[in-house]
Amino acid sequence: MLEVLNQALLQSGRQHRFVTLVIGSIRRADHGRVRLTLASGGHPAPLVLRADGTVEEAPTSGTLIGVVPQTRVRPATVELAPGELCPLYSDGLIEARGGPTGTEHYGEDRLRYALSTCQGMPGAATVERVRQLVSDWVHGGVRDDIAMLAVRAPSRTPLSLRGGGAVTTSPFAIDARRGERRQRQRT
Amino acid sequence: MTVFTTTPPPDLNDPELGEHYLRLVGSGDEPGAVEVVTDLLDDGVPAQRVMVDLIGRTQARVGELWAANEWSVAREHAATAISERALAAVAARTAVRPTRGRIAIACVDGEWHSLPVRLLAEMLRLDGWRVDFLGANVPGPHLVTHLHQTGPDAVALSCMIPTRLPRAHAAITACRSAGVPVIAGGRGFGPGGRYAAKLGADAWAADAEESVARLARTWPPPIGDPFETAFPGGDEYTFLARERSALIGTALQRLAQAYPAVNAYDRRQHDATAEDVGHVVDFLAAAVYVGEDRVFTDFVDWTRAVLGARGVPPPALAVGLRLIRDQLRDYPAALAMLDAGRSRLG
Repeated sequence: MLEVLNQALLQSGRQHRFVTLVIGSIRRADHGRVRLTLASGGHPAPLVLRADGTVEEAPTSGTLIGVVPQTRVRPATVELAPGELCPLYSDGLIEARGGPTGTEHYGEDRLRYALSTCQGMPGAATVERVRQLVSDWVHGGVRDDIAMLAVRAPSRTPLSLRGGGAVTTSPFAIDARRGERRQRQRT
Repeated sequence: MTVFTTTPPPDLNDPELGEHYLRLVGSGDEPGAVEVVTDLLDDGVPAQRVMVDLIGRTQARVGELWAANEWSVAREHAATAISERALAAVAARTAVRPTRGRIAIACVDGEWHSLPVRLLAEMLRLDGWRVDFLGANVPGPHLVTHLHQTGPDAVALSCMIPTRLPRAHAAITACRSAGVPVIAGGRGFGPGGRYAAKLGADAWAADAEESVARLARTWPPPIGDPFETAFPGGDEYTFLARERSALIGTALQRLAQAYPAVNAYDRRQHDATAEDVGHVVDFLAAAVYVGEDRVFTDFVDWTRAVLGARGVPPPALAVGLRLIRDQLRDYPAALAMLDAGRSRLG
């Protein structure tokens, strides 16, 4: 499909028209897992937020679409366990200029760290949080268009029988550990 | 034998219900939280009470738990997302035909706390307003475009953090210039909304219920000159806003000279420090803008409490204040406010 698009853009005759994009397909797999097949055409590779809070990069890469006759695209398959999240984003996000000097890029490192703090959050809340952090970073400065899309494998919510069911444990591992620490100090 | 069971009507002031609901939002249990809310509606509890006494009150506690470092940011955000879903569930079950005017509701540019505003939107809808909910972080020009397209009878503008006051002022002036009166809300407008009055807002309300009551009575108010409050803050504000980057940059440099340990910070620690120093400058600028010490002293008190909950000693904040103070020799108003802030640290 990327090849067809590439040819179409090249043949359209107009100069300087190219795109960067990520396309992918989403399928449900067993045990609540979700399988994504992703292909990037010159776009930042999507990231993956794992259940333990680590952030990985989907190993896909490819050339810009609409520039060279022969596109080279390396697709990748990513599997998400329940609660794991795969954010796709445009380069405007990591190239947003701001920070204390007002000229520094937000950068992929900051994005990765920001995501790692979003473990256990619903997809929409994660996207909102990253938007917020970047908005604070640029401090109202001018910015390139920023687009984000996150795919999250639905986390499993325990069946709750209004106060009757088992006590739900927090999916927020850090908070849970914090509680333990406090208890230990008390004893 | 017949057994008569009577279920007492659910009491929203029952702490157990509040705790139960807080547990649900705190563990990201959306179906559970929505079920509690819909059950209450089924039991005949008015939607307004569910929103204010359960969803709103719980959200306030979520904020407190974050400030006290009991909950992580992630958990706070996840809980907020669940509260929004619960609010949407209430909204979906209550249809009201608009009988009053039209109102646009927005958070100031740079303001992300959208839940209180969403709650207000639903409350006004139930009261018969036709509501356009513009959401969080609405840039001024977008707001003005919306006004020209829809011609509402009022704009409700929310600001939770005083650093957004200069932008709130721009938005208020723009709305009033377009002939639309503004009702302000949110903690950012200060105790009793006193900064809102200074910035030309036509009305102020402490919470959603008060807004509904205020808008139900004598609206629209007579609009005065929108440029009455044209340029507060003067040169000192202009200096702080324009030289923000330089002030922060110099402060960080001097910090590294005074405390070589800072040089060993990783990027994350460095970013966090820069952000903290940035807050000092931003709150100072906002305080100068509205001409109120209190903006800055409240910030110092609040930051001290938040840092204290995270094990950061007060001297760290004092160092930050001093580093900015050293760069402000010719600015008496800003200096006076900084010193008022420093005095809070003892």
